[in-house]
Amino acid sequence: MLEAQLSAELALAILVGFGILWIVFGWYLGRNNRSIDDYALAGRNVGLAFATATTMATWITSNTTLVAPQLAYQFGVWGMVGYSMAAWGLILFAPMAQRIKSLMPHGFTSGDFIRIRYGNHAWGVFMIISLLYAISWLVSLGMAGGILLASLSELDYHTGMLAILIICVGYTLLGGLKAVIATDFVQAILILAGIVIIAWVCIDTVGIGTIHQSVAASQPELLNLAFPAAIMFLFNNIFFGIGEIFHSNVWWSRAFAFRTGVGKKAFLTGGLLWLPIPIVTGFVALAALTLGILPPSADMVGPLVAAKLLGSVGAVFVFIVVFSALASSMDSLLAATSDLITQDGYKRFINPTADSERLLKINKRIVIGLGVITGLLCLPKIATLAALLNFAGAFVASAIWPIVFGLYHPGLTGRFATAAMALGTLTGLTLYFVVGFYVAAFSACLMSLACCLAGLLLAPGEFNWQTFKASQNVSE
Amino acid sequence: MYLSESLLTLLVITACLGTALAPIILLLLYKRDLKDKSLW
Repeated sequence: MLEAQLSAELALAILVGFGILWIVFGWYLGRNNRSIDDYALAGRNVGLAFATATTMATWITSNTTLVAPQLAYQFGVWGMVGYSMAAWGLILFAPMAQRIKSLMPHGFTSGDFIRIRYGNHAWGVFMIISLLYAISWLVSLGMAGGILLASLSELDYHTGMLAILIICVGYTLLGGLKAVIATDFVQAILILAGIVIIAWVCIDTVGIGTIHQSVAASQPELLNLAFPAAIMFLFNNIFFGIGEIFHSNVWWSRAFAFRTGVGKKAFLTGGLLWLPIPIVTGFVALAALTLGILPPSADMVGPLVAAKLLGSVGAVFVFIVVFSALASSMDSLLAATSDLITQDGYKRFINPTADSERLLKINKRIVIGLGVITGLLCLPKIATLAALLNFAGAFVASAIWPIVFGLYHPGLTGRFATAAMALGTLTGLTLYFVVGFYVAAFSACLMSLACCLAGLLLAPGEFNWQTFKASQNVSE
Repeated sequence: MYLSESLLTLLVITACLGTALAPIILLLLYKRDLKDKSLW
């Protein structure tokens, strides 16, 4: 399949080496974790450097390293530019992170916010959306791990998928959010340096002019600025990215964990620095036509081009870059989803009087449980990465407006917020099947907005912002 | 309407420069936080 494929022994050696390194690092960082705040929110005092790196590294994921090249290969220039629009999620979340920290200085999860702001029904719908999205993302990351190893080495899909899961569960379990953030910093540097080197080699050995000529001759649609499906994809991806970030506890837990005054700067800087990355990774995929690469599935095009350009040593290099990208997102998702289940599930329904020590133990067990569930769901390779993620787009985009109005407008009530999330999701899913994946998020967002505006016009409420301060013991 | 070679070059080179700048900014921020003892 690949000219410069790693042997099974070398691939295993890299995995074991990286696994030991990250797990020992995780243990070292987590050795002083004493409370649930230390473990789940890194002590709520994360500085700007780590905060910026973790926002970037978490958002550089299988999407950026595998799906952005896939979309450039399928949709051309709009595929890569459209993917880069996902940076708007981080940029627009910057002021919201500051607002979240100021409204809920002792808050713990996005579920806390929805429950206090809108009540139990909205909370129920929101939890279904959050958990479905979290599991979809975890499964897509696990599948990406398997695809990566299958494309770059002689190991099979299942070995790669299980290896990345075990390593991420290991260091997240031992170090909590502190380990996740610190490893994200190192992984961000590795990923960025790797992407720049791969792009430079691509420009130097193949050339932008040659790539342009090849694409223009064999698949001119990829350079067409009026490619209808690609333009729809661009708009859809903006709303998908915003929905992913606005609702997910991955980002809310960071807003709570960053030091006061850091969140806004970190999300803004992280978003601006992330913006050009999918264009670079997408461009590399366009070289596939010039290099005569025909990937067995479209989401393998990025690693295959990079490995071909860089040869046998390059395959090791590409392996490390993509592995870091996957790990930096999977660890964040494991940590944030376990927080959500611990606080909004265990503490709320099973043991409301649980102390910090008990919550810490439960949180760790949930990290292991999530790893096991993800592994089982990844066993059959059920869909391509893009298809799986775009299916989740209908869910997350429906939560955008209830979150925005919930943070800034006291008029939206729980009844209409619930309807916005439920009807938005139904609309998005219907159009996903009737029209295509590229309209799911956009249509869900529009329907959700219509419901929110109807609520503000027909039955406006008057939420008291002090309610959040009165509930500030949510983490205790 | 098709993207010309010069526009593709401009897009890709700008994106590469932006990506190359990112790790430098992160390391400078790290150096500053380390000096101010404000990493965590």
